[in-house]
Amino acid sequence: MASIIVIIVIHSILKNISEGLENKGIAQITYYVQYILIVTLMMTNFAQILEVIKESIQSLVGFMNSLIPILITLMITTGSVVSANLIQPIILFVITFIGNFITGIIIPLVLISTSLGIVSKISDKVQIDKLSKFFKSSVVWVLGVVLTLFVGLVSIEGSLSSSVDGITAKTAKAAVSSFIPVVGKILGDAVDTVIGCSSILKNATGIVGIVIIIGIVVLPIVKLAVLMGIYYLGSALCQPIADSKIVSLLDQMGDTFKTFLAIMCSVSVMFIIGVTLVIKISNSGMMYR
Amino acid sequence: MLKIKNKQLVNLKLLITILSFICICIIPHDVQASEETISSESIMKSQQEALNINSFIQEADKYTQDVYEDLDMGELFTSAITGNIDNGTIINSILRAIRRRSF
Repeated sequence: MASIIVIIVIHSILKNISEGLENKGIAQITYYVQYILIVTLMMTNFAQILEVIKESIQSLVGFMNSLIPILITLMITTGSVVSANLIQPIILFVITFIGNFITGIIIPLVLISTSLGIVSKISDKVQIDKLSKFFKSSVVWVLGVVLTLFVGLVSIEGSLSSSVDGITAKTAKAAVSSFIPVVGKILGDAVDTVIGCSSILKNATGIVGIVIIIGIVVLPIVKLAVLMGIYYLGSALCQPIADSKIVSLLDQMGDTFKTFLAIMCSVSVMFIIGVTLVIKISNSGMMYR
Repeated sequence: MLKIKNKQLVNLKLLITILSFICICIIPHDVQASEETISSESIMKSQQEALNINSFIQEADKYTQDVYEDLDMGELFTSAITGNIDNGTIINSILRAIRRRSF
């Protein structure tokens, strides 16, 4: 950002000189040179952060693909067979879908929106700002819809199936305790102990999973937040001396980083909610016993 | 005839009683079942081994090596089982990682 501000300061000095000379051609050329330099500097940041985002989303999906089967197995050992069978396909599908959707559609859409925003700031003649804003707002809307659908589906199906699991397990325990002579009660209690231990293991695995999800996303989120803040601050600092198009370009880049921040936050929150729901669904099934 | 039969029956009863007493004395009291109860810790340990949770934790450690440098996931798992998670250690690890990356 420091180099961008230096370029802007030099350009404002050159602009004043060229205006004094009343030569519009030179002013235009210095503007273009400044613009190219600023965009080149910004693109370096942009490419780096894009790589970080892609890597962390791939890591998240990879980790979730190894966490969910273990959690589902532990769910089955706690007796939540119906919930496990209902939830597993939804969660695994959504995780894979989100990973591919973000890297294949959302990130390219943000790239297109940013490129259109940069192009529209080159000259007053080319105005495609609205299209850029449209792409950006569609990304936010699509993410919101996916997040709502995922949480809604998992929580509704989970709450329905957990009741079925709880009642089935309670009936089975009652049958074992009453119909098996002499050792029926002991057997029922032993089953309860094993289920309780599985539940503790499941909760512990889920907690470790959530801590690891936070560990995967925390650095990219902090980086994006810092970059967003720097670009907004830069645009605010440069407003008195810089061209209005340069100020809105810096603002646009701040918006782009904000969109990436929203993507990372929503994906991580979605995965954390997913893991928490898996833990909670089988825990609420245990309440029936 | 009836008296003889009754006498034989009494003798048989006596024989059965003596034999039963001998059997009770001879049959060993050793049983296979042990008196100690299986603790929940050993159940959890066996379940961990059966479900291969330890290898999952090792695998998970690789994802966050650069963030949680001084936090062992195995220890975190053990503390999660006992319900004694130290949030301060986790937060400090994250802050240290952010500091390392910033400067």
